[in-house]
Order: sequence, then C-alpha cells, then structure tokens
Amino acid sequence: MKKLILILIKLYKKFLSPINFGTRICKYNPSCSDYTYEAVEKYGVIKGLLKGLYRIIRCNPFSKGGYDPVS
Amino acid sequence: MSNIWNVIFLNPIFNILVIFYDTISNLGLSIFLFTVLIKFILIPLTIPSLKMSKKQRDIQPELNKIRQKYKYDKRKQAEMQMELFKKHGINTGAGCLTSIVMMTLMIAIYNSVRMLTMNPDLTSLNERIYFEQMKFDSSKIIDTKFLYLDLSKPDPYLILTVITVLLQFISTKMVSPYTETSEKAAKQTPEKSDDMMAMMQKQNMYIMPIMFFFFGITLPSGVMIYIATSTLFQIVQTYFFSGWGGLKPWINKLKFAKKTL
Repeated sequence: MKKLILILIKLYKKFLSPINFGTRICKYNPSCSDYTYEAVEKYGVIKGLLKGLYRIIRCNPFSKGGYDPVS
Repeated sequence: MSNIWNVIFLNPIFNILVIFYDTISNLGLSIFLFTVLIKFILIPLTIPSLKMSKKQRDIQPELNKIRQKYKYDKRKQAEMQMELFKKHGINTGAGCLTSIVMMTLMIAIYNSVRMLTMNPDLTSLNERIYFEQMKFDSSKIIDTKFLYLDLSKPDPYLILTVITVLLQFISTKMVSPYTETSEKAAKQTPEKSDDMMAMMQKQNMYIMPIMFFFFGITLPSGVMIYIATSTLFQIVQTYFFSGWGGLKPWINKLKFAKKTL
C-alpha cells in the first residue's frame, strides 16, 4: 500500500505536475508533492497522507509559504 | 459524490452557457463568449502567479549564481534561494490549493460544453436548468453548425486543431523561463537532478502540442473552440502582465530578421 502511494506520487511528479510545464505553483519548499512523499515514507500511509492534505490546504494565496520540511 | 459535483460545480456553469445560447442562439459564438466571460472572472486568481513568474524570471541570473556557489550543499542552496525570494518579495505561485480549484472549474466547463454539443437528450439537460423559461422545448434541436464546423464532431479539416496547437505552444513558451539559462545552470549541479528537470521541461514543451493535436482529432470541435479561446485569452493576459516572457528570444530574432531584410 505504502509503495503504491509512493509510486503514484512519483508518477504525478513526472507526468502531471505543472512544474513540467515550466510553472512552479507551490509556495513551499519542499513542494507539496515532495512533502507528502516524505511524510508517507516517515509516518505511513494514513498519517502521511493527512499531513500532505493539510499541507495542500495551507498552500493557498493567504499563507506565507517558504521553507517547511516534514517535522 | 457525483451529486455534489453536479450541484456545486457543473450545474451553475452549465446554466451560464445555456443563458448565452438562449440569447444568441449560435452555439459556436456562445461557447466563445462564455469562455471569455469565465476567463475574466478567473483573472484575480491568476494575476498573483503571473506576476510572480515574471519576477522570478527577472532574478534568474542571481538564482543561477546561488545554484553554482552552493552546488555541493543543497540545503544551503535552498535556504539562500528562499532568502533571495524573500528579498524580492517573491512567493512562488498562488499555491497548490488555488490550482486544484482552477482545475476543477476547468473540468466543469469542459463537461458543460460537451453536454450541449454531444448530448441531444433534452430532458436530461432540462433537469439541470434552473429557470422554467430557459428550458428547451422538446421539439427544439440544438443547432450545432458553426462556420464550416459541426460542433458535435471533430474538425474534419484540422484547421481548428492546428490553430489550437499553435496557440498552446505560444502560451507554454511564454510562461516558461528562458530554458537556455536554466539548462546551463542545471548542468553545473553535481547530482544532475536539476538537469533532469530542465530536460523534462523542454520535452514537455513539445509533448503538450502533440497532446492537443490528439484532442483535436478526437474531441468535438465545440470543446476545441473552448480550449482555443481560453488559450488565446491566456496569451493576451500573460502578455499584459509579463510581456513575451520565454518567447522573447524568438521575437528578437524576428525583429532582427526584419531589420536585415
């Protein structure tokens, strides 16, 4: 399960992510997909994905953005 | 789940399109005007990211310097990059949530256009329409002719397809940073990880037009009018906010060619 999720994130990054088309939309570093990848690796599927989701919600025009690693 | 989708996203957008069709009763023109209207409404959402991508392009040389200076220390590199962004007030992009919302909207728009052009079943369409007087009579036939096109079928002469592909190419080229400089900088990083990214960016610049070519020969031309219009709008919008962008070298070449002639 964990492996499947990690592969899906990798596929997203490789083929779907807008960074492929020259625009970086994420305000954070590491980006939301990198963050989620690391979080799933570190905390497992459920907690990792929840952490990733929370990160995506934070990634809106009203937040500050910047350096924000998986803690 | 599909019910929520219909009520929140699809039906409101579908109704706006039907209002256009009811008033001008030319489907091709309605799709065009409808797309322009939607794009106008979405302008506030796209401005921040457009401004930011321009700013980011402007400081590209400084960025490359940092990349080279800290090429063995990725962490420090990211830190310095962030600091540089902070100094120039750059916050890359509007954020992922905004893009997800925009994508969802786009899918709803695409669906409504497709429903009107491909679905001749008026009762199921009428169920979605809010106001009694806007509903279609059961005898009504939606006129899908527009210029030489039948909007429910792909363009047989590929004219619209080629135009869309060209527009798409111009628009991607405009928002992307000058590839040459970022490519050079990427080659100098030891892990070559950035190198991959620059290469992929370049690849995708050509993958997208190919994708749109296949859309053109498979999708109904009504949907293609929507895609072409929104891309054209995108180009105009990008031009007004950040100039020619990644297209600049080409424009310069054009000017130079004119001078020498």
